[in-house]
Amino acid sequence: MTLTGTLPLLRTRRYGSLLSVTGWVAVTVTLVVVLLSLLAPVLAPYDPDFVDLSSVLGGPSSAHLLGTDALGRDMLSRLMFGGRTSLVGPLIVVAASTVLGLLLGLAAGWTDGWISRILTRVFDLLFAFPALLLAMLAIAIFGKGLMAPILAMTISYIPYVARLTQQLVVAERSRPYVQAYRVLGFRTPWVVLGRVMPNLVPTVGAQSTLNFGYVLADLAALSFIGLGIQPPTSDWGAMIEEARGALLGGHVLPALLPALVVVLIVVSINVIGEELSDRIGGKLS
Amino acid sequence: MAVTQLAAPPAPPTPATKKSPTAAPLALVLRKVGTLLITLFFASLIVFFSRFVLPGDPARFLLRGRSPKPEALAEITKQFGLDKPPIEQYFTWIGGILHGDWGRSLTYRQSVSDVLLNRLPVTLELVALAAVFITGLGLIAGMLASLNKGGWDRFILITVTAAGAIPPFVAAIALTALFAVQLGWFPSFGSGDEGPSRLWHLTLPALALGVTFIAFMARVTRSSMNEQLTREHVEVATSRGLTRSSVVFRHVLRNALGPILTVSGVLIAGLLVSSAIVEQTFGLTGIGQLLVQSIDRLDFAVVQAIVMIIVTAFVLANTVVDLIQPLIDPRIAAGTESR
Repeated sequence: MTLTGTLPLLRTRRYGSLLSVTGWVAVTVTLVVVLLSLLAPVLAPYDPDFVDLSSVLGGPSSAHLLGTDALGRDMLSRLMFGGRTSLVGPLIVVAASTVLGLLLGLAAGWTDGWISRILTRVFDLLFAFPALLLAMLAIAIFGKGLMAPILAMTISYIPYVARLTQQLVVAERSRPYVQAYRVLGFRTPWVVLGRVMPNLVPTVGAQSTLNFGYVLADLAALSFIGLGIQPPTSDWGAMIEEARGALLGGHVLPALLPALVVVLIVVSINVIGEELSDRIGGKLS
Repeated sequence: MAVTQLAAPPAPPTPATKKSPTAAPLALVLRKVGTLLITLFFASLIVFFSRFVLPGDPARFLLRGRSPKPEALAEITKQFGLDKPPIEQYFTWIGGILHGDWGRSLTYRQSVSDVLLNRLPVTLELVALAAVFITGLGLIAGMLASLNKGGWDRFILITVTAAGAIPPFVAAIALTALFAVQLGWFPSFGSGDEGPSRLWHLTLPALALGVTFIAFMARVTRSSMNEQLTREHVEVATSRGLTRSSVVFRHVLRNALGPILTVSGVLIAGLLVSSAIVEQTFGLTGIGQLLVQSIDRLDFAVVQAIVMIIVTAFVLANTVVDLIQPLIDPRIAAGTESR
């Protein structure tokens, strides 16, 4: 169902392909980073936590391609393993908030009565809590780590997906095909989930792609200020924090490399998300 | 206007709220203020009752990480009224907040409001300086891009797109590496003394805090100006022989201000959240750093107070923007869309 919903989008009039050249570069960068992180146990040259005090803060060399940090740990290996913790958080948040947001948005958009009104109010209320702030409140209650911010950010991002879905559903409801299914007596759940939802998936997917970048940056920031993933676990945000001492001592690389990776992946995801929503938006209008 | 989140994509407007065509200004104000109060009420419920999601003894929760003696447990029970039903605890808390009694900090052993008042100036100065950078640099970059098609426009757009994806903590690290460590122009730590020294200490943090928003502001300004530049009234003004600066400032920029203002209200409130990270990075003694430290030291009364302050600022900024909009563009008050 999802497949038939997205297939027509793989070709557009102007470019003959879904994304521009920049877009495909962004996709390539993202895939490389994801693959390197996934395959870290196989590909990483060193144990990411292996401390070697004889090669502290070494520059790039044949033994350590990206140098070593203040404890002599191999930067490349830590970056690869760090990707696993840094990417899994946003992935969970985006997946959960997309599914829940879609369902709540469908409910809010399809109904007219009190369910719709209450849901709309709840979305409005949640917008009053910036995601990072709700995450901090959750950490204050459940303690540091990944669990509390993931929970809080999922809740924070649900209204973004839900409100978009709600708008799309309201527009979709009056379309002839929906009327036709209704007249023919198909059951509402079947029409909504089986026929309407697949039409929303591309647009909502573009929004969720953008959300991924924001969540990744926020979770990295939380690890950076010491409230998220705790050292010695390698995580991009936590790595930057750990490297601050070395940075002030003039060793730029251990802090700059993870920072660069964060920016690279966030830029790539933003480019992909924006191009997707432009293409889909153009198609819809 | 919907409340949007700072770094997140703009929230689509609520489909349900349609303005009645003859909304009187007073009715508009009253409705906005009413919505504000209701939102704040429910937000306070979330902030207060959030700690009830954890099972177990609330006194032990509030004293986590410490070795509670029986008298400490008794004191905390008395201070928070933990022996009373939750509803009554809530009304005591919210009543206290409205009267300026924000409870006591476990770490500082003084009232939360005193701790906050000590910390507030640095945060306000930081946010104000960042706001100056955002409005100044963002407006200038956006106007330059809009008025100079071709090379400049492309250059600014690319720079701005890249800068927009730099999270504040990464910007903080990059700025520290370049301007504090390599060049030594600015200090990397501390908030300095009052006066010029403070400004010098706050420059890098304010830039780090503002970088995403400078980019955002530049993009909004650019597209808003671009849209105005194609309008007939601008063509008329130009063909009447008005000077370019007069056309730009009186006819284009003024009309482009609506979207810019909407964005800045949301941004400035959002700055308060990000300031937690920037203050922590640069060792500034503001309420953002206090929030991070209080989470770290399990000082829950302070966390609740700061979260409530930031949410209030966030909601308030949005309401103010909503109320100012009609003053800039009277068509909004009349209920017709501005385009």
